[in-house]
Amino acid sequence: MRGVRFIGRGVVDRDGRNVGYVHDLVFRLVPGETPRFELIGLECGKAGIGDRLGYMRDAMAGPWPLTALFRWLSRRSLFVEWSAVRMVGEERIEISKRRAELERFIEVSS
Amino acid sequence: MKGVLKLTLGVMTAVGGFVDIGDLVTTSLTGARFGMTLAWAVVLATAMMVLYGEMAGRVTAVSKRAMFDVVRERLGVRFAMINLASNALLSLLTLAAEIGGVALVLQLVSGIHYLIWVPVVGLLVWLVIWRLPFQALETVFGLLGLCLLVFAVALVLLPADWGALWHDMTHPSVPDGEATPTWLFYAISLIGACLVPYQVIFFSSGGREENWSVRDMKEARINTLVGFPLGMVLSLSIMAAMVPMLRPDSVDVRHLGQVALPVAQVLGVTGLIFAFLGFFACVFAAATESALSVGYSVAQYFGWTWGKRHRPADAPRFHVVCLASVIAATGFILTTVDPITVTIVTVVLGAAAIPLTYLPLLVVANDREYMGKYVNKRWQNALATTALLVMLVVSVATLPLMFATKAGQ
Amino acid sequence: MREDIVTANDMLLDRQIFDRDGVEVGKVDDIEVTFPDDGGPPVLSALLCGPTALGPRLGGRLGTWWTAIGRRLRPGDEPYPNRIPAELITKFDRHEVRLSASARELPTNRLRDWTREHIVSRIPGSGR
Repeated sequence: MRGVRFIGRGVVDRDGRNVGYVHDLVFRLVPGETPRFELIGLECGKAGIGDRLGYMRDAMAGPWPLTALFRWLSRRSLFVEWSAVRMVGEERIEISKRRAELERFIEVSS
Repeated sequence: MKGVLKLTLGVMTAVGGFVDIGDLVTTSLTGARFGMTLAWAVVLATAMMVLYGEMAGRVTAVSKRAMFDVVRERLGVRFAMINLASNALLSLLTLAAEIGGVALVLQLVSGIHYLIWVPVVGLLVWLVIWRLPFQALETVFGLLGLCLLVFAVALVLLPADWGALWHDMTHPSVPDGEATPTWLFYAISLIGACLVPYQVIFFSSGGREENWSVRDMKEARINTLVGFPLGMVLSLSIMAAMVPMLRPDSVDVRHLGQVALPVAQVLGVTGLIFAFLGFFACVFAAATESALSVGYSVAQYFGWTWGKRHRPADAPRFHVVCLASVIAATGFILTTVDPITVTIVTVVLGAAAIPLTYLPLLVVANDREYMGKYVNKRWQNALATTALLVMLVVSVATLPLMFATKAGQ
Repeated sequence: MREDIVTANDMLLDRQIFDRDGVEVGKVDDIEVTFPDDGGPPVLSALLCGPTALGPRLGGRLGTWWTAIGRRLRPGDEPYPNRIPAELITKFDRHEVRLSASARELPTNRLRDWTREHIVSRIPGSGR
C-alpha cells in the first residue's frame, strides 16, 4: 500500500464518529545493517499545519511565537495503533476502538 | 588577492540581485521624482537582505544542502510546490526583463535596435550557463559590476546640494505635490527590487557550488556583510545622481541613456564607458542568476543532480531546464513587449511574493536537525521575525497600492 | 520524543536519496508499506519516486495532471511508480538517505538518461 492511501483520509471510530484525518504514519525504527521501519500506527487529528513544519519536534529552536503556536495546535493529535485499524477503505479508514479510548500522540512518542 | 576574490559570490549576488534592471529603473525613477526621501526603503531592504543572506549562507554551509533543496523536505510537497511555481514564474519574467535590459544597453551603445540584440543576448546567457565555470562567472561579473561605482564618483563631482540630500535621507517625508500612496508604492517597489527571491536561491546554491562547509561560514558571513551593502551603495549612488535632475517629467526611464547622463556630464566619455560597462555587467549577471535559479529550484525540488560544478552530461535535466528557461524568456521578449514594463510588473509581483521565500529560510535556520549548534540565536530570531512581519505588510499592501495609484502614476 | 519513533512526514517522505557514490537519485515521493508473510507488523518495503508517485500527493488538478504525464512517460503506460526496494537502503537517518546501488542501475534514471542522450549530448561541450 502506498502512503498516499492513508495520509489525508478521514478516520471513523467503531461508533461511526469522526476521529479526524490521518496526518501521518508512525513507524518504529529497527536499527541494523539495513534499517527497517515497522508501521506501528497512525497519527490523526483535525487538519493542521504545525505538523508539516515539524514544530512538534523538540528540534525547533524558535522563533517562539511559532513554536508556541504549533505546539498548541497539535496538542490534540491522537494515536491509533495499527492493530486497531479495521479497514482501509477508498474513502476512509475504520478503526475498532472508540475515540475516547485513543491516546494522545504526544504520550506515545515520548 | 585571494581574500578579495573570496568575496566574489556575495558581490555578484548583490550586483545581479540588487542592481539589476528592476533596481536601475526603480532607483533612477525614484531619485528623479522623490529625491532621496525614499532612500530609507533601500537601507531597510539591505538590512533585511543582510540578515536573511547570512541565514541562507549559514544554512548552506552547515547542512551542506542548498536552501531550496531543503524546503520540500522541511515544509512539505504542496508548500514547496507553491514556492517553486511562484519562484519559477517570477524568475522567468525577470529573466525576460533582464535579457531585454541587456539588449537596451547594447542598443544605447551601438545604435542597433534592441530586438536584434535580444537573441544574441539570450544565446550569450545560455553559453555562460553552459560553459563558464562558476568561479569565473562570479569573478568576472562581480568585478565588472563594480564599474557602477562611477556613479558614486560622479556624485562627488556633481553640483549637488549635500545638505538637502542628507536631510531627505534622514528625514523621509512625502515631497510636496506628491500623494502619500504613490510615495508608498515606490517604497514597496524599491523593497521588492532589492529582495528578489532568485537572489536567495542563487546565493545559497552558489554556496553549494563553492562547496561551503562549516569552516567557510565566516567567509559566507563576510560575503553577506560586504556584498549587499555594496549593492546598496551602488543603488543609492544612482538614486542621488538623479536628484540634480529633479524634473520628473523629463526623466523618461525608457531611455537608459538618461540614467547615465549625470555621469556623462561630469566624467565625459570615460565615465560613460564605465557606466555602460557597469549596466551591462549588472543586468547580464541578473539574467544569468535568474536563469540559473529556475534550474536550481526545479532540480532541487525534484531531487535531480544540479549545479555548474558538474559537467552538463552529469546534470542533464538541470541544464535542459536552464536552456528551456532562456528560450522561453527570449521568445517572450521577442514578442516586442516593452522590457521596462515587464521589469516594473516583475518588481511589483516580486514584492507580493517576498514572504514565500523568506519564511522557509527562517524555519530551516531554526531547525537543530540541520543546523546543530548553529541555529539562530534569539536576537537573530527577534530581528528576523520583525523583518518577516515587515515583509508581510509590504506583500499585502502591494497589489492594493498598485491599483490605487495606477502603478505609481 | 523517543529516538526510535519516527513519522513518515517528518523523516521518510520528501527526503533526498543518494546512491552509493553520492549521486542524487531523487526524492522520496511516496512510500510503500507491505504486510509480511509471517504476520508481523507492516513494514516499509520500498521508496517510490517519479511523477506517478508524486502526483497523488500533490492533489487537486495539478496532481492529477502530473500523474497523467508520469503515466504517459512510462513504458507500457505502467501506473505503478518506480520502486526502490527497501533492501537497497544502507543508511536512513536525519542527515542522509543512502543506497547500496548505483543510480545507473535504478529505474529512476530514465529521464536523466533520456535528456542526456537526446538533448544534452547533442550540444557541443557537454562532456567536459
